Amino acid sequence: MSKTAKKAGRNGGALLEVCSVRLDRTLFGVPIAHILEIVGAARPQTVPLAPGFVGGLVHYRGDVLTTVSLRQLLGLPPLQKPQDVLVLEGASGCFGLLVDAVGEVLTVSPADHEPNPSILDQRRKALFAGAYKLENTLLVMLDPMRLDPLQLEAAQAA
Amino acid sequence: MDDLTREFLIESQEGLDRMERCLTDLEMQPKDTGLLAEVFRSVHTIKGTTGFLGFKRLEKLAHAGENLLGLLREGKLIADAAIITALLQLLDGLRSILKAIEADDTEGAGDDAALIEYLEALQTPAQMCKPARATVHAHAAAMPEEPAACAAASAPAESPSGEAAAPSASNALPEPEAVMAKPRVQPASSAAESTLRVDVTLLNRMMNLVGELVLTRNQVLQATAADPRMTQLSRRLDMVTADLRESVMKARMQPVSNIFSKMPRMVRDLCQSLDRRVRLEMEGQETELDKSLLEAIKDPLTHAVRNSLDHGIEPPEVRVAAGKDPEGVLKLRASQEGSHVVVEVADDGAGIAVEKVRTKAIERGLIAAERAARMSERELLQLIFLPGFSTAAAVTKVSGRGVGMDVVRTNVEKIGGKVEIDSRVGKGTTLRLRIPLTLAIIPALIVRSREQSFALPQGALSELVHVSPQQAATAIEWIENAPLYRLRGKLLPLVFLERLLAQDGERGPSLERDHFIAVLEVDGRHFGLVVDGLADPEEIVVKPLSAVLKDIGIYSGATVLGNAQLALILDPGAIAARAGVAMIAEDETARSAEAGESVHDAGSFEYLLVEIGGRRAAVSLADVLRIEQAPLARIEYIGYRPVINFEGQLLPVEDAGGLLGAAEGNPQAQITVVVCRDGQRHVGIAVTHVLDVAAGRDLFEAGTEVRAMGVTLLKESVTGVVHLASVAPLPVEQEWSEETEATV
Repeated sequence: MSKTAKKAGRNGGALLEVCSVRLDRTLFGVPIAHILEIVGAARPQTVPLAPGFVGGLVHYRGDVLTTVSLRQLLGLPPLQKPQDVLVLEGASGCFGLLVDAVGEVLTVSPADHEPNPSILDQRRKALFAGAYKLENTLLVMLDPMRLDPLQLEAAQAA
Repeated sequence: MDDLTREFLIESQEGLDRMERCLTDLEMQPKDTGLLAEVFRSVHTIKGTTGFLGFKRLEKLAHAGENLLGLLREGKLIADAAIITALLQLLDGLRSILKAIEADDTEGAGDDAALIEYLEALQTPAQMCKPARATVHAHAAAMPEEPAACAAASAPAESPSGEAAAPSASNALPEPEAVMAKPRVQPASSAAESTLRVDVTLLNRMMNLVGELVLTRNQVLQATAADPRMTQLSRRLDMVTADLRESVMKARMQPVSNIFSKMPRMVRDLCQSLDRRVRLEMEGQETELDKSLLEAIKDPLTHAVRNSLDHGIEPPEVRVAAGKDPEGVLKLRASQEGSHVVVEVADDGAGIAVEKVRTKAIERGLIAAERAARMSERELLQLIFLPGFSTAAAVTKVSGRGVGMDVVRTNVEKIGGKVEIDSRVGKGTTLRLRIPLTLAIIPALIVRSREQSFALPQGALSELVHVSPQQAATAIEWIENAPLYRLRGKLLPLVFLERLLAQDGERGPSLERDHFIAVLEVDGRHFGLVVDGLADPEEIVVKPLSAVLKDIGIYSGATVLGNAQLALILDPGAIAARAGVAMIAEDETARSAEAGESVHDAGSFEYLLVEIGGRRAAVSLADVLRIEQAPLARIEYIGYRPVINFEGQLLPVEDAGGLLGAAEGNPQAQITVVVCRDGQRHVGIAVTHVLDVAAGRDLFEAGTEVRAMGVTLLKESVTGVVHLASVAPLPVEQEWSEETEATV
């Protein structure tokens, strides 16, 4: 696993490599340093009685991985086709992040970063880590730590 | 901590474990030079290494012990009870220092002066008996923390046991014993050369990988089942995988002697503090069990032994009054039975008085008086597994606090085992722990509900009932919202899996389709789990679930099925608890015990009713292990004898109805095989259908009391019983059975 490639940016700040993820019409980004692997076209097995954000189980390298569905987390309708899974390392072990489709890796500069806008609803504010202004769109940053199932469960209980 | 110290700790622990074993043996055979040499070597090694590593306190204590042991080894002293006790204290002392070193790299703050002085006092030869004994007493008094041991130390010292004095009867052992004991030490050193220490995490990882391989094998077998060209290859893969799995599992196996060996010391100490005389007999110490399981049964077993000594075996005077040998016998026996290891703790003590159990249970409010009055002995015995139950009149140091048998049962059931108890007043009690050989791979039935698969561990499964859509309306009865099924005349509470898993607001189950009731028995609960469909049983590899999903509380893990699908493993105990199924004592004891009794009723047995080529036949249910469905392609032939290969075990198939011949040439044909136990071996019987389970009665020939052989009255019609012993053994049975024994 390669470390985050940190190069000197235009303004002296370190550049960040981000894996872009498309969900509905929004472009999200996850720092690649947190991604262990990407599993394509997965059909997660649903877990009855699981908390709402759980997208099901996928088979990953001999283990059974619990996935967090970004759609369910954001209250979007389920997608009736295979989805991609980002395998992330959380505080309590690995988990999967279920997204519609994984896009290309982008390099962003801290100079383009803006904090969460005040008009976002509370749920999204808690999940998003600001946005990067790209040339013709916005890249919404996701914080893997906040997507950890245990974190989400604790947040839900609170 | 550096590697050297760690190595030293491991070696010393092993040495001390060996020493403990030898010391208890030494008490029986005080002149055994082999044992003495072994004990001496353990202490000597510790002393030598500690000097080098600079553990002063340890060195001093070991030195004192070594001096005493030196005299014993040279025959200048005889290892009497006082010396053994002192050496056991030395052992405890050394252990506690080692523990301190392991914890924080220091030797701890304790003071061993008293113990060292005591050890030195014992070195004074027994000829100078008087002063020596005086010192023993004096030093015994100086060690308030070991009062019991001191009392014991002083008592046997009364008997003259010096080398000049005639050895007492118990000490007098024929010389050959001592001579024979010598070679016992030899294998230990040669074993050390051919063995190797492996990190448990590496073994766990290997087990995991083998689990993966088993999954892949299952998938390959399913994918290639239809392709005859692949049959050979996949069969080979099947065999190799099974062999590899056995080998890795074996690498994790440890003999039960690892925990049995702790028992002589414990029994000895308990005998002294409880004033009992007990002879401990151990059998089957070489029986092997997975390391993690061995760890898991340590506590239950210790508990059971304590119980036997405290509540079971009576004090000598009571035993004499009852006309028994003043010395009680406690038997520990381990043996392998198929895929289980059975560990038995049997005593010849007072047994459990069921009347006492009855009054106690009522007194503690565990059951209602009128219910208790109706319970049979067998049912009453089960009550001792309830939390908060103890028959001991007084709370002793050893047991009687009411945490006991329920803990034993909970711990054993946690690892998928079972506890059985048998007791006869005045004769003794036998506790039987049935432990699975391994945890990581378990047989499970794959059930379907909500259009997905779930794995149901077979350990809890007692039978399956099919309810057709036509029957559903009448067969499943309701009291308000509670579904019930009449299983052989008794009401069985039902839990609909679909309903249990439904999120709030989802519709209830529709009855217009097939239902299957999996009758489960777990945690003393008896209930039926209703599912929509059944798939083949599979050996599943248990994968842990993340904390978030574990919190749901009804899944014990997940697994990957042969078709590469994931399935959640249901936890029958948790499901029963969640659905509110009552514990056995509340209303189920009656049922299960009566069901058990009806089997033992004179002349009444339960049979599996099958159809073989148009004829009805019965197989004694007690002999039925499982029912398998396999494609016809799985049947192979040894000569003209059809056999089937189940995970490396060859099973002769009895085909009385010519079913195999009839299905020949049809590649899609499935064959149903009832797998039965006949003595030690397993036999398969090819059947057309499995019809039902029913109680059969003996038939008597008219006018006589002679029981007609081979037939039974089943559902009011005379039915032939399949005679398992008449199924001829396979020509190669001998070689095979040996191999299968080893790989089970």
